[in-house]
Amino acid sequence: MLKIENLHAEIDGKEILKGLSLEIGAGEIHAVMGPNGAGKSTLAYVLGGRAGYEVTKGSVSFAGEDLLAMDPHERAAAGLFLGFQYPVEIPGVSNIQFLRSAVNAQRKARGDEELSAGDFLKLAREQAAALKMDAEMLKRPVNVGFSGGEKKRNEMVQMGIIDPTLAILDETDSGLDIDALRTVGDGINTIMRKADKGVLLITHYQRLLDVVKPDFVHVLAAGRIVKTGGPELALQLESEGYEAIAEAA
Amino acid sequence: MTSKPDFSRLRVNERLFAAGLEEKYREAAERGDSEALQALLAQVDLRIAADGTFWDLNGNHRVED
Repeated sequence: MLKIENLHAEIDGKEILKGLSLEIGAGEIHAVMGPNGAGKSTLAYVLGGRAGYEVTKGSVSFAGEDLLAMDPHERAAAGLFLGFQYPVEIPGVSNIQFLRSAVNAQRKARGDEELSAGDFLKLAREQAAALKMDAEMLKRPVNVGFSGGEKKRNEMVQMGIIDPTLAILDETDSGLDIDALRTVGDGINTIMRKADKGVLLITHYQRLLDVVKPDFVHVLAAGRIVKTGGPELALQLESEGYEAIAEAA
Repeated sequence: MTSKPDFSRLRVNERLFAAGLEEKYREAAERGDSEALQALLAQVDLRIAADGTFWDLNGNHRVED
């Protein structure tokens, strides 16, 4: 589904990713863990197509297509979803109205029929209920007055509505209390734990992985994957720390 | 990639992300600088009309709240 080979990327002339390789198959959940400054968010940004990041070497294919050659809107239409670490608040901009526009623009780009207002609202209500979020919150301006946990929950509701093929979730667990963590984790499982979908879960901590069980755990250090293992690797990281494992790799 | 994404296919947060403007937006929000916020939103095809309603510049249609 997603194949990253020898990826090098820089911002403002500073190389952050230094030969990163990673492959995600359909039906798989991969966790990427690593210390601050390792390049975790840069990986998410490069995959999402954020302006300012330059790929200097390597390749990324998504469903057989060259992801790096696509604009961000083409990546979204192809089924890629990026869950933000710090979703911003945008007063005056109706969350649900723009979400419907985006969903329908993506469906149109894929040749699918657009959702009517009624069908969209039904879907939005279902997804909000699954994430234990009041659907009325979707009508409010984007993230305005939301707590950190509500913003993340809102991201997951939007993910459920968009129904992507591949989700890249950048520290979705940050700012969540225990209950919100479980709700969001359960949401990820419900929406994305399917045979035709994949997840790249970027996180600092083991706690989210207690709820969302990864098939593979990767340690990212100094811009490269230095170790890959199963869920037990996350537990090892929690007990031994990144430094010891990165040095031993 | 082309220089300007088709923002209409993106969520609002994704519009700012795609343009690399989230940090500037966040900083302007912290300053409470509404002029800067409007200028940044305009770069992702959003603008606030004089009556406070939002317009999507892509299709130039009014967005109902």
